[in-house]
Amino acid sequence: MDIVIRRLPNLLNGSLLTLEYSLFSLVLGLLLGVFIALMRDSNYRLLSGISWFYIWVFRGTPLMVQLFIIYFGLSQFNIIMTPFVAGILGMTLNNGSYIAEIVRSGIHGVDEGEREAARALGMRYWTEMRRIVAPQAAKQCMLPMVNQFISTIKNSSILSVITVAELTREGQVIANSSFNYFPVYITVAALYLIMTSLCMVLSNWLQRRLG
Amino acid sequence: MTTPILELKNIHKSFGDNAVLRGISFSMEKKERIVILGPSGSGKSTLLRCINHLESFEEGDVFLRGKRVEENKLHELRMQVGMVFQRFNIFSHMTALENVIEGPLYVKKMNKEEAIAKGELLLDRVGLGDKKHAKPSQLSGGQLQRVAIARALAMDPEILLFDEPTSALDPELVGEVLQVMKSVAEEGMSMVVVTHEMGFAKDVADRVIFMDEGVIVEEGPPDEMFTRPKTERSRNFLSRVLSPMGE
Ligand SMILES: Nc1ncnc2c1ncn2[C@@H]1O[C@H](COP(=O)(O)OP(=O)(O)O)[C@@H](O)[C@H]1O
Ligand SMILES: [Mg+2]
Repeated sequence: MDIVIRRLPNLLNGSLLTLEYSLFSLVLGLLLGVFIALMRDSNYRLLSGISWFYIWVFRGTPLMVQLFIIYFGLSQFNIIMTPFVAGILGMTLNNGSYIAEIVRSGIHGVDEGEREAARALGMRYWTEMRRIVAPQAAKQCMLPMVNQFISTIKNSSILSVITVAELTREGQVIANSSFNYFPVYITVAALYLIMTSLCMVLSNWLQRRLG
Repeated sequence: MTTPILELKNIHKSFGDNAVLRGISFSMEKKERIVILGPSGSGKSTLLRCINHLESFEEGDVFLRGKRVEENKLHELRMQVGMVFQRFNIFSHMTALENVIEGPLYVKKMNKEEAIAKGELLLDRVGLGDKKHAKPSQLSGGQLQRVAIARALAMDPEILLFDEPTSALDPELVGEVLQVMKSVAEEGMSMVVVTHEMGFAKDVADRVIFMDEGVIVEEGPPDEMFTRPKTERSRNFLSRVLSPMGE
């Protein structure tokens, strides 16, 4: 047990890094996701097709393989990234594909009649999006986004395979050097549980607020 | 002769192989009030939506004050042609007043004080001065439709289109909306109204257009149309809609 106490600072640092990667890739993934969602619903076949393809690929393959391709695979073409860049990039691309679908269903949830009324007033596309669609869609997306964040926190453990020193990786290092696997991994699990539980509290609060 | 405020020439519109409008032409003078009648599915809503290009069409042209509406100037057309919908389509995340000033603020770029003053005036005019901060969920159907009329009026349109504005209302709420529409008509608005309210048509319309299966079957002043319809189809339709009301 004292190995856990002695190395707790490392585990806490790992947790912080986990949160950092998750938050970064969620925010960047949101920007990307909105972009992809609008593209997917656009009238231009090419844009819509590209977006469909992207969503299809990134939702249909494991995050670990995506990270391998970005970090190890691309280095063969002299595209060399630090684990940090590769990690953020991979997780953002992965998040973007899921968030695009969240955003899309939020947008589709806005009453078509209201959008038509906006157009009937003479609103242009971006004004309609900003004034009528975005506020209502954002409300719809809030809960799914918190759930996405929870998934992201858990999925970020996969970053350990490209040597990012997040929580799982820290745990691995400590466990392997001390041969004391059980208490270390239980502590790692507990730290994840604390992070995801905090999100669930937020989610419940949102659920009550939004009715 | 003055230029018509609105003119439709030979509008054709299909959904797939369902030909919904099959050559609709008519023109409308300023301050004219036209009521469109016709059985359900005859293309009335589609026609209104084609007038302000909410729906695209394969053939034909729309002229506003003699000028053909260009595809790239649709928002300018729509600023001048207001629309009131069967299902109100009130912005559900905004209060009554916010709904009314949305167009002036974000389409016309009016300054805020001016827009609010105008919005309050319009809500007064439709009898909702005390509901300006109400959310849509706190308003009845009749009140929502009156907000929608105020929202359309706030753009100072040249023409107002109404698509069955009272069809979604409980019977006891129909009167308040019709009354507002009458007052709008009395103030000289040019209006095209699709409705089944024959009383409104008789009182307000200058001209009644009867549509069936995507064509205009017959048109004329209301007293003529209602007492001496010329065609079999309009006779049948009118006897069906007029008799249950005991007229
Ligand atoms: N968006 C649409 N897609 C396919 N068919 C439609 C659409 N809108 C209307 N229609 C069809 O067009 C015809 C006329 O509809 P509509 O204009 O709503 O008639 P009305 O308002 O007179 O009842 C109907 O047969 C309807 O099914
Ligand atoms: Mg209709």
